[in-house]
Amino acid sequence: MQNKEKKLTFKRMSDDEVRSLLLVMTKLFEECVDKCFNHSFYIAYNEYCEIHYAINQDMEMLIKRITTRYKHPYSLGLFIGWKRNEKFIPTPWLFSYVYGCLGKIKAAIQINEKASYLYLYGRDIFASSIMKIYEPIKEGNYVAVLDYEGEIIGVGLLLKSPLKAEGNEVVVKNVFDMGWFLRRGG
Amino acid sequence: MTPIISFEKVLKDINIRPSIEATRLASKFGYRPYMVERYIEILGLDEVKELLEAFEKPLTPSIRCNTLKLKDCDLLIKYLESKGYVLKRIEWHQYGYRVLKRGKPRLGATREYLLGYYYLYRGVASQLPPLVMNPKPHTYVLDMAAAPGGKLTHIAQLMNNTGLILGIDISRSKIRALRSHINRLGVLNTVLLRADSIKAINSLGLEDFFDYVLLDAPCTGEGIIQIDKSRKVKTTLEDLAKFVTKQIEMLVVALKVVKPGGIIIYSTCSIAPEENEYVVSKALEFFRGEAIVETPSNYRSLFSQGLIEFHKLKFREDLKNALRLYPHLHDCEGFFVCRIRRKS
Repeated sequence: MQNKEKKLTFKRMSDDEVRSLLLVMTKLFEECVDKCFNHSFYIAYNEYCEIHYAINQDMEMLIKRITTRYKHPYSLGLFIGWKRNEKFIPTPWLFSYVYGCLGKIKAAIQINEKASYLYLYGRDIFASSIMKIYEPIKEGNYVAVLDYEGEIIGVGLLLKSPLKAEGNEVVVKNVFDMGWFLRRGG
Repeated sequence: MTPIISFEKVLKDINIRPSIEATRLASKFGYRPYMVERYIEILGLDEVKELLEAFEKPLTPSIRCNTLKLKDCDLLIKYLESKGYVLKRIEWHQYGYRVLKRGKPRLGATREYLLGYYYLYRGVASQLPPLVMNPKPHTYVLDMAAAPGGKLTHIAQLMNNTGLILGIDISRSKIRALRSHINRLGVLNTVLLRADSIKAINSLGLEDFFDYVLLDAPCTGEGIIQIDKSRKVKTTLEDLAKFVTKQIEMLVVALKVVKPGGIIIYSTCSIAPEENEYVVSKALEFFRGEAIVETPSNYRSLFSQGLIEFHKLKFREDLKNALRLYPHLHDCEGFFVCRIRRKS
């Protein structure tokens, strides 16, 4: 995540790009999240990746000044996700922000204590480790992974509905976990 | 651009000749003699021995409970105590704790750390500058040497993630760590620039823009000898003069970008008067008295006063309002904090 940072260029998202992003989020949560974002959106990109940020109104003027007079910032505001193969991958911070705004948890799975620690070491999730499902979850979509105490510990890709899977089947592939801060995050 | 003060002038001003006693003590504890000579001038011979002995002891680490992620800090203490840690609240800090006994896993590897419930510091003094700044929500803050981010993320916490913080740092590896801390701790109001802060600020034209500026200046690190013994000998007087020249230049920039009536916090992890009172005096002299040194009264009784004279140098009277932290008196790294208000 964010490791190929050479020659990142920042640009403000166009209205069309913002609409498209908000639509992706609306599909993910099956609820309109436009009201949560009184923000501007920026993309940092290079030949390898595309990183998406949301910034508050106070930051907007400064960022305009930085991008026009100086050079590109290193990071800004809320890191909401990145794109891989044209697919938007949400960050745990986006899930956390949206939960705070909606006042409820959606598109998430909660796992038991043992699986929580294993997830923080980069492991995937077996069907038998899942304690609770927060709808909507859909195969091929990303879900927030909550630990045994309900804290967001990462983001996973739902491979198969836990309701249809055998206990020892991997149902969520680890996409990002907070253990990254220990392994690579500095 | 003409320098604000020349390296040669600084070197002449800070030159100090060690006494026989300073040389003897320096040899015993493994320091450069000029360093010990100045400690004697500040503290007197008896207290210097206490200081040098304190520098030999390990530093007590500390943590800051991150209320952006966890509203109930008692819960954090409970979690960490269950892992064998013993914590004690820092007497001048509502949500900062000294780590008196370590447990397992190490503090940088617990679930609570990864979830952003706390920030880990090598000592306690680094938690002081944001508290002395005490920024209001919805304001604009500049952090001129922001990485690795203990102070910047603390400021974001005090602002409850509102307003704007511009964090600048030149180090590629350190700013990477800062970005990680920002994400881990749930900080949302920050723009980071990897750049030389003086060049970046001048290019951006940010005069009178910020309500608060933090300049935790790059320094000799003379206050953290507890964790890096090489600092007893690594800084020559010429090296020191280079640091001082740069620090003055940075502080003058800070004075230009803060709004009239705004606050600058100047701090270093050094107890060298040359890097502290001398720097503030020279920068304010350049600014022609349009700023004053002040300190919230609740901190004055807790720490030592700033110096108003040292060796052959005389400093501004209001520098006694600055705060000096000494390992043998305050159970922390050596540190200096100064709150400067630009006049309206």
